[in-house]
Amino acid sequence: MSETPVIEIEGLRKFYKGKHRGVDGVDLEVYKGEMFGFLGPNGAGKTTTIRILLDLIRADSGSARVFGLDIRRDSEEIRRRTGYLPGEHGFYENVIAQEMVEYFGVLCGTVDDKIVRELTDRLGMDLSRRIREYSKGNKQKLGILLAFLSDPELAILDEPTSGLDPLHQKELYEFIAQESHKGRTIFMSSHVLSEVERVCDRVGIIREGKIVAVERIETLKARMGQIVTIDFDEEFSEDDFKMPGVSKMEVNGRTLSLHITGNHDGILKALSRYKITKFLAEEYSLDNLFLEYYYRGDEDHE
Amino acid sequence: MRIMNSAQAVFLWTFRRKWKGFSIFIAATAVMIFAIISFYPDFWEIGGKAIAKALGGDIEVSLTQNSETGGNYTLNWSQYGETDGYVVVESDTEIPLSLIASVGPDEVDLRLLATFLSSVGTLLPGDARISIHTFDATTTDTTLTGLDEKYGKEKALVYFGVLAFRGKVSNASIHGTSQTVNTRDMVASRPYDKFMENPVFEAFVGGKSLDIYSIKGFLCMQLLSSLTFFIIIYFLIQYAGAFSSEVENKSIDIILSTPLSRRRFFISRYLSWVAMNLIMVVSWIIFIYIGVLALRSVLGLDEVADVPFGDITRTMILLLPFMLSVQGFCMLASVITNNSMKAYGVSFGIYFGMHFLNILAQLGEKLDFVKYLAIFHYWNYNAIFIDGIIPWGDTVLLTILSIVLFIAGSAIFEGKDL
Repeated sequence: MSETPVIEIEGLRKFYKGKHRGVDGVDLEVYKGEMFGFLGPNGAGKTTTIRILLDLIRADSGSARVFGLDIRRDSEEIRRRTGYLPGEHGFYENVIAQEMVEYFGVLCGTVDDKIVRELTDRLGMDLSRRIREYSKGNKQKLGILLAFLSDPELAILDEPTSGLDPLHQKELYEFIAQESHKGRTIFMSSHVLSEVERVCDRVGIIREGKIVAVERIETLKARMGQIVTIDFDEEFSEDDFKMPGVSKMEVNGRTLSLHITGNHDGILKALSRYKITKFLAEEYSLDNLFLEYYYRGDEDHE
Repeated sequence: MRIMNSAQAVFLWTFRRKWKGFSIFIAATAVMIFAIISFYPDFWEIGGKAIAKALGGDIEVSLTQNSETGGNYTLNWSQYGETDGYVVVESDTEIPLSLIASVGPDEVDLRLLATFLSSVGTLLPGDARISIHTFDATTTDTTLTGLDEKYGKEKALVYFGVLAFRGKVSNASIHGTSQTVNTRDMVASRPYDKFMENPVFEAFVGGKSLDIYSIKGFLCMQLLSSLTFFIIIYFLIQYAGAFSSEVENKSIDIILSTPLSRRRFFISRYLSWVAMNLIMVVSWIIFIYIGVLALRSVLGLDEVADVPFGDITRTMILLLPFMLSVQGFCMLASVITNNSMKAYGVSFGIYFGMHFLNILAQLGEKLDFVKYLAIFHYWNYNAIFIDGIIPWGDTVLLTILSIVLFIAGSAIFEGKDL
């Protein structure tokens, strides 16, 4: 991964019909060769951002460049070098998949039959069937095939695993990871952090149209730590547990919950002074971390 | 391997996607054309043979004022050999001849005819009065008294229609008409021509007088009017959702994520529709000509069914600007909104609105100008087909309209959020 930006977004704003918020000041950079996870719940503005990048909708204000090119003026050139998997499939259901691939290939203009064969084999697809006969998983694979058909430098994938069973999800992530290793830049949206952590280098989290965090996955993981829940058999002092490495503390009667990201030694020493009935330690998941950004956002608002 | 560019691909793809509906439409119009043409021999036999001749020239129906005062007149008409009787329709409002004529071959009695004429009255001013009198085949005149009393001295016009019938009153066909201009000044010369100026009748036959028993008149009245209606319905169904439905079902996202520009996509798709229009027009020329040939050679109506190939071709070619304009409105509705139901609603609204305006324009001179707002006003197939006129003004106007709609549609599509 280099530090050359492939996607540069500055202050992007879009309100549908002037009042329904799409995005409200998105700033983001995605670098060449990286696999970037664009995270946020439904309605946060992920698809709006992506569709603005592809010139399917137009921003009210702000600017965005892809490959250093203006997304409006140079849209055709950007799309020539970009593959796209939409969040919702709009295939022509009555046509045979092979015909759809051929049509799409002509529209892309640079498709090699060998690429089609290779992608078909890797995705394990049968293109001789009508699209309406495809399962959701196969339709998603077809979408992936089309996104990578033109051997793009940048692939923008909008919720690529949405609605898929875990087996299909795993297959797709493996495929996307392989493509990423070829040096392509992958910009992938999702609403589940734990899904993308296996494949992404960095993630950007969008909340109510604004980017609330951009972090490397390693940084996030370092902040994951553990949730420790202790049931005491006697009264205890919260102050005994306020120490470095404890990022969050909740008290509920004689139950204490701690989010520990550092060394556990201090906690265990503090606990040794009390009589306890139950001790439970769980990994703090990425999804919990992800939700934390939202709660933090709510607090910010309040 | 590239064998075509993206514009050609969109052109062919659009063609292919519409192919099934298009083929069904062509087949349906073929059935309609042949069915209507095959009906002509019966139509001609029933109504045309004896009476069509009378419609072609001066109708000898005259109205004579018997006294200076009181509104007393004698209505006189010439006799027809094959007629079994006459119906005289009297009205203080012009009588829509086309509607009377269309009663023709059906099994109706006089009461029904009266009801029918009353319903015709709904197209006329609310105070219109119509009365019907029957006479046997030997009668050629009737005395009319007390018209001043009946209609008032100030009433400018009283109209009379003389209908001949054979066998039954229900077979009544137009014989001729006459009218008073006012109670003092009467004109009975060339009443048929005068009658043809009736705006309601004009609305039905497309603005030109025509003899509906002649093959051309019949084709205009039955076939071209039906074809126009079919075209509008088909275009509304096929094209009003052409873009909006693709935005709605997101297929546009996939297509326009390729290096294809919106303009190129729009133009390629439009050209594909134009190509389909050309195929339609060529098909209809062939179908109508085959139908006419069949009438002439198979049914032996050589003299009656003489429709030159050139007349059919000219009419169908001049249909193209009208088709493109209709298509243009549908396409515009389809790009204005991303909601296909709204697009259909807007398109249907435009056409029914224009149809309403066209009818409204016939109801009075004050409203006459609204006909210019209706696209149908500029598709004068009777003048083109029967009189051999090329209405350049209308044709150029429709062509300009279709170009404007195309440019507007393209600009909106390029600038909008999808």
